[in-house]
Amino acid sequence: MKNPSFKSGAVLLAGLILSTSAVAVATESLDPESQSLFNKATTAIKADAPSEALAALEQIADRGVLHPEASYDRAIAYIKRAHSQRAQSGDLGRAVAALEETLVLRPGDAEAEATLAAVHAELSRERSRKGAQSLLERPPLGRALVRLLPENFWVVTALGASVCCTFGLLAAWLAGSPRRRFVGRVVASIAGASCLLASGLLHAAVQMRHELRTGIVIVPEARLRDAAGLPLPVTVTRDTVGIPEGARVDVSKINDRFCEVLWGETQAYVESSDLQLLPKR
Amino acid sequence: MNRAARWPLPVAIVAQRVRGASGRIVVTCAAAVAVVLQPQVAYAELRLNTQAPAKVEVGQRFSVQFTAMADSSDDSPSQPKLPVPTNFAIQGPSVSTQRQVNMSFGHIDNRTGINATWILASNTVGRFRLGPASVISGGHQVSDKAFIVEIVPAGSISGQRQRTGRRSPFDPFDPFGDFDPFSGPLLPPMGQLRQLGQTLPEQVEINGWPHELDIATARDPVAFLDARATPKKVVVGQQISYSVFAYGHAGLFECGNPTQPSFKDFLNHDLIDGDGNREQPMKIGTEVWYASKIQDRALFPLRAGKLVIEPMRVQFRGAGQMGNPQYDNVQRESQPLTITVVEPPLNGRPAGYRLGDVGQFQLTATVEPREVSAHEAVAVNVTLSGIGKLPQNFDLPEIKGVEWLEPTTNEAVERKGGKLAGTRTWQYVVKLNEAGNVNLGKLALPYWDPDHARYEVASVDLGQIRVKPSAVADAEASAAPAASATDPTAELPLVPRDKLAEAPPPPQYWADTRHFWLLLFLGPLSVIASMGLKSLASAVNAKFTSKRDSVKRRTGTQMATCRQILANGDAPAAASALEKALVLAIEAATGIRARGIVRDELASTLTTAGLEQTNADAIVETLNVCDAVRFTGSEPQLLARAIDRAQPLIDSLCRRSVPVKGRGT
Repeated sequence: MKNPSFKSGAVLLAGLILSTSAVAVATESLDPESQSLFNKATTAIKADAPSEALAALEQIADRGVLHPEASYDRAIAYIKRAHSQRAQSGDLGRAVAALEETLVLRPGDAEAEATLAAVHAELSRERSRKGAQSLLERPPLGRALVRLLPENFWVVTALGASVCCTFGLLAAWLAGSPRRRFVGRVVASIAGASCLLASGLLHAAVQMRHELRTGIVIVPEARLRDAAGLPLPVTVTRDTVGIPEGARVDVSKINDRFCEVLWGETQAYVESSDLQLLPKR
Repeated sequence: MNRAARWPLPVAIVAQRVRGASGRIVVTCAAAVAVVLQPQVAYAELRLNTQAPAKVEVGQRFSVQFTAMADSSDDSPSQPKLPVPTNFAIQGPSVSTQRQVNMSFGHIDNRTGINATWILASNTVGRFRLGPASVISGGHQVSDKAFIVEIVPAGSISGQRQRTGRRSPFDPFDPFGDFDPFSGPLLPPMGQLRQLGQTLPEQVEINGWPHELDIATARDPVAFLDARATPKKVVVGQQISYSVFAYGHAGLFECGNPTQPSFKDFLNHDLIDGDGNREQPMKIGTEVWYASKIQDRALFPLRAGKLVIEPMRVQFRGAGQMGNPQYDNVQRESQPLTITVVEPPLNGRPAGYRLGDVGQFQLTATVEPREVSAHEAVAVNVTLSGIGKLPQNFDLPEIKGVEWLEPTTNEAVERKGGKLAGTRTWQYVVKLNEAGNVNLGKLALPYWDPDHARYEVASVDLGQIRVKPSAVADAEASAAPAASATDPTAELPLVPRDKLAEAPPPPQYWADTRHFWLLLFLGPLSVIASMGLKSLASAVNAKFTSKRDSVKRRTGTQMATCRQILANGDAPAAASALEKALVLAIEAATGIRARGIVRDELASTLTTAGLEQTNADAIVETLNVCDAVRFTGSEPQLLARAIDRAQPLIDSLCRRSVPVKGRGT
């Protein structure tokens, strides 16, 4: 059971850290051709022509241009197409990927978060209608703990604990009175343990950031496979043969045809074309 | 060079040499001698045959074929060797196994053996002795006869061939015209075809083969596969023509047990026609070969990168029931090919372009009727034709009130000049739900034209439809939105953002700062290290202090004893105590055992050990006083003065004992 006040405090601190991380706010402008495509796309979305809009927005993405607005509009176009007669399988999964991309490029975008929640709800309802499992999959405790807070939070915690430990050790060593020396020893012990714990979590967070990528399933179901590409059967520990559309997975290896993914406790391969990888920030 | 050999080797040589002379009796005698000399040897007859041309032009490649057949499979020959002069380049051998079964007069003659082929060439004019070719059989090396090859200047044989050609355009039993088939060992490589009854080309010139069979050099003396792909650098979706040709040097052949390469990164269409497998006689250099195209495919790469087409494998065997045994068990594979696949350029890429749409296409469409009532439908037939892999679909215009139903598609693919071409037709039923003049819009298919290296757009305007008002209830039209109104996303405004707001920069990760981990642990580790160093220093200091105190304590005890004994009037015993204290201090300070050194040398020894000359002299003098008191009974006052002089000396020596490492007290 988590203490709400602690959690809100931690989130506040995390936000503070993130805001201090952003040294300056940069304006990312599109090149003229991308800008023209973007204008064309927004006009097409307003005219209820999502396929036309998507052609332009995918073109922007192909050009390697990343902008939260372009990603958001892409998500809107996919949602609109999913509800049109031109709907294609995986449209809502692609919308999820575009919204996640928006949130990667602009963390805390409330509108994107609300839209993402609605799309997830629709996917869940669609799946429950078919009697399939939900999108929720509990990650292992270690990964959940590491991702509980931003990486820089662990940096600050580790550094703070390190400083406290230093002063505690100095007090335990140099203080004149036995009482102060005792206090120093207690502070050094607690701060040292905290420093080691935060350092371990920080190290894990850094490793995950460098080694894992995030992917979104953009097909109705990404079939789980082994390293040779053969479909995996249902087992006692794994009650599914596929990852549902819109699910968020960690991608640890990428080759020509398959990606190794971690989805909850499940570690398997899926076809690379079943996923859309989110940009790394 | 046909010969029969029997082991042991000397007998075989004798038998070979006498044959053809006059010596049936000699052969019989030699064989008898062999039987007598080696009664326990299990003899097996080995038939050797070497074939090579008599004359070859400078630089021309020629083959030497060596066949060794044994009666018993236990003695089947192996490890063929052909010694050649150093000015010959040699390649091979290519070894194939052979099995011959002859039935005559109810007797079955079963032979097994090998056929080895070498390819040679020389740039030196002259007559050269080559061979003898040899094999290992039954644990012995058995050799055939050596042979002579004459290397003649370039053009001298060609002239003869032209003259021969005028007489006969093509002699099926001597296709080269420069070999003497009756000169015993110097038969041309193709001579064996005649022996084995192979079908040679009829009286036709071997110069009418398709150009696609041309190849500069043979990659194997007997048979080989050659894979080709053009072009080698393409864009995703562009056609690659992939062909595999089979070449055989030992007559007509068949290819069996083909192992197809995997085309996992390509879409592939088989383009080979019914005549593709017919072997054609052709020439590689001056040698007659048979060649056949066994693969002809159009490949379309599915992704960018260095894509590898794996080798194809086939097993060659002689054509027909009397197929050439040289092909037996000859398995060959083509070379792997690497194709560089890139994406078409981003610059100028039209919106709606789908990766893989590459070729040259045209769009046509018919719309009928042009006038309907609302909620009725029109038929739109769209035809896409062109060269390349025909796209599966394209974007339809999105117009309010126009509903495109699922189409019916037809496709016709054909081969057009080595390229895949065809037409694809979509038959749409388009419902028009709103009255008025409805513009159906334009169908467009952007594609990359590889021939002109630019993007093109195939498009067709569908024109206008006049839609008359209809009495059909509007409830039909509103049915679809009512169904979707229950979706969670239906509650969202789904308004696009048409202004590009400021995007935050990428977050900075402090853990990526250089030396972050060192900085993180620097404080605590520095304090811990300082504490440790201080403790260490204290421990070392305490150790040396205790050592110094020990020497000082012991010398002090001796001096106190000395004074007490002197006070009691026992001067010799006091002198002994003084001497002992002094010796202890000297040993602690310098490590020198003063009692073991002659007194006259003690001063110099102590000086060498680092003591000052005055102190060394004072020590010697004090020790002399001690000796005098002990042995001559000198006055005790001398001893008292000596004790007073010795005290600062001992203190000085004790202080010196501290920094001296490893000296015991």
